[in-house]
Amino acid sequence: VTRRLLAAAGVLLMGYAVFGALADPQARRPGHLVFLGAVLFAHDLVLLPLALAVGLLLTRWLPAAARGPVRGGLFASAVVAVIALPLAVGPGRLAEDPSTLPRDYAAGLALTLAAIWIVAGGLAAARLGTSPGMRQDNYPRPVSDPEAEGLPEYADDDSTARDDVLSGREADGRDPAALPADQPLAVDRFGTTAEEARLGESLDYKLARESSDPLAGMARTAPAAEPVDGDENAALTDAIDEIGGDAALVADDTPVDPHLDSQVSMYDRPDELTDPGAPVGRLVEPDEGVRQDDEKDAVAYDSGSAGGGASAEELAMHEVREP
Amino acid sequence: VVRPARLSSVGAARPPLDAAAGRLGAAAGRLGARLGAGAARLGAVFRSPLRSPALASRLGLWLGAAVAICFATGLVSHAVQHPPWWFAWPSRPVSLYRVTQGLHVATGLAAIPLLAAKLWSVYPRLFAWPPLRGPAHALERAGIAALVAGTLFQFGTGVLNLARWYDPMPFFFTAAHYWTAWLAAGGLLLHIAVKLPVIRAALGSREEAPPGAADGGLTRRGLFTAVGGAAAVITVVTVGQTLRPLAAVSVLAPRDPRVGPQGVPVNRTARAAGVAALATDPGYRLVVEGPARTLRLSLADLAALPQHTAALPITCVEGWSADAVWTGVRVADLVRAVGGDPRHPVVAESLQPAGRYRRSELAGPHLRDPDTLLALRLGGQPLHLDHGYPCRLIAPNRPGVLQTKWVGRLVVER
Repeated sequence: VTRRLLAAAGVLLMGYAVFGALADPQARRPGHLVFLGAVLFAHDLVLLPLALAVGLLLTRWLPAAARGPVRGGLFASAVVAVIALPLAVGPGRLAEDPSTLPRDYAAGLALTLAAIWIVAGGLAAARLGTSPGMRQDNYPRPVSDPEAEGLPEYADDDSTARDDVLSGREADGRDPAALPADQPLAVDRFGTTAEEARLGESLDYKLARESSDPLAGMARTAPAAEPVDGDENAALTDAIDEIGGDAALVADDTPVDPHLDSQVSMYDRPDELTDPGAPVGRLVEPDEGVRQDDEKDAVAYDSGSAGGGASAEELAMHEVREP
Repeated sequence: VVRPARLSSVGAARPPLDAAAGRLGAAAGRLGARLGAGAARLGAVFRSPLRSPALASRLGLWLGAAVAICFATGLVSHAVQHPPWWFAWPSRPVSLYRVTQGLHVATGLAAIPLLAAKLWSVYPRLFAWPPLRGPAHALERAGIAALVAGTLFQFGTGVLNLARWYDPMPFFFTAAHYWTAWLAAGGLLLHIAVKLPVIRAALGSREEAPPGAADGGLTRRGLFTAVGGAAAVITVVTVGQTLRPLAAVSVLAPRDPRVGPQGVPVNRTARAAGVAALATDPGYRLVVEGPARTLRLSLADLAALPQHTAALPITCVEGWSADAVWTGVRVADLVRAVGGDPRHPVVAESLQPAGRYRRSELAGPHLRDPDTLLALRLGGQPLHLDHGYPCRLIAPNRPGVLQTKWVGRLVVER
């Protein structure tokens, strides 16, 4: 019964509107109907689809947590613009009357939009900060940096191929132990043995420590890459000259016969250049790399397999007969 | 999908008539099927889990309340300006019309986000398929079309009127706004009648709100926050046109109650009304016609009569209002001076040669009210030309369009 009464009242009012508008000489305008249809069409088939499309496009690439506040901000901006634009662009302002539309409505709109976006942006930022699974700190403090703390030459082992896996050092917590580098540093300083400690470091040694060691520096820094010359032929010619003018050898592009029984590489061609000679074992300096070196020439003895585990470089060593 | 088969069989059932008609029928059926499939695909585009009868009902409840306020206050304003025989409008409280009309405009503006959200929440139903399921469904959809068009019309023309932008409106705003209000109100009642079971079910059940859009968009609470926030922002940036304390932050208010000649806004200037020469003519005389005699009063004569001061707001139908202190002659005194009876209406006519509001009728409590003045001064200064110099009508609790400016004649009816 309520529904019937409501429906009847509704139809009655609508009928009253139609007849009233037709009977009122001030309201009887075809433009009225046109405008009614126009607002319906403009909203349902232009404005709303446009708003949906713009909203979707603008928020598509946003992180999910920020979408809500940004869409809310877009919505508020749109409805505020609906009210402000007729004021800002319309011809309502009168030069003779400073009290009609007395404000700068473009500036007012900008100010209002700024306020809306401060709030929406703040909400989005807060959501991003607290949403689970999201990074909470855009500038995470790294684990302690031993080099920054004055420890030279440590093994920087913080990076792994997979960012979601902690490196060994990171897994140790905020302040992991500094790992020693590959090269011994302090162990071959003067004074590590009892005898040196008793003798004391000489002035020469002390002075030598003050100056940087050119050899050590060279050993540690990788050789700089050859600057790529634009003229590749020149480089090739130089290489040929170096080898001794045997251009045929350089230009040899016959397929490499896989040298599968080579201990070094399947690509080496020992019989063409040199006699491989007898294999050489591990070469050890007299100071064994840790003691005081009082031999000025680079000499070493062959210690054989020395327990095995030869590196590829060691295996590549051959005896060569000097020409 | 069933429809094309039926339609094509109808076409095939009449071979003697015309084979072309059959082909036409089949083609129409295919077109219908294609449109139906298209509509179904389009329907799949709208996949926000937020859209639900529960959301539409809640938004509709708020929007319905806002529309009811606008409708009621609008009717009041209309009745005050064109009083039917049964309508009586008091002269007190002084600011009653200021409140109703301020509420009319402020509620209308604040309801714009509600309307936008409400239409969004039911938008996929525009593409429902089949478009018409029968006469009842057709009637319902026609009612919806009238309701949506009427509501959009009311909000759209209201905003344009606030911006004083009349070129896009090929009709007389006031009359069209009034009659379309009845259309929208009727459409709303019909809509509520049709949807009442849905509304009851949606509002009655304490169903859980959906967890929010799957893509992390707005939750239902977020949507309400956005709509409410937008309404609040709109209110704050516009309501200063009638709430003076907020005038400074109302950066989008169409008026500033502090700006205007003598600190009071003006709706129609003397130049626009074409009265500048007439009003500043030193030979100006106010003609007061009454049953006993007719008085011709110069400005000096008026100033020599007993002066009264009243603090009355000037309230425009466009929703702005400003406080002002007026000084002048009581209209009731003038009526008695020409032998009239304040129980009979008085017509005030402006000097302006033409215009919809050049005359207004003053009657009942407004005529008898001691604060109803023929004002000569505003804030202690002689009236600015744009405020109605040499004298204007000012009465408590009346729309500004009836506070006739540049009064040239007062006709006391007998």
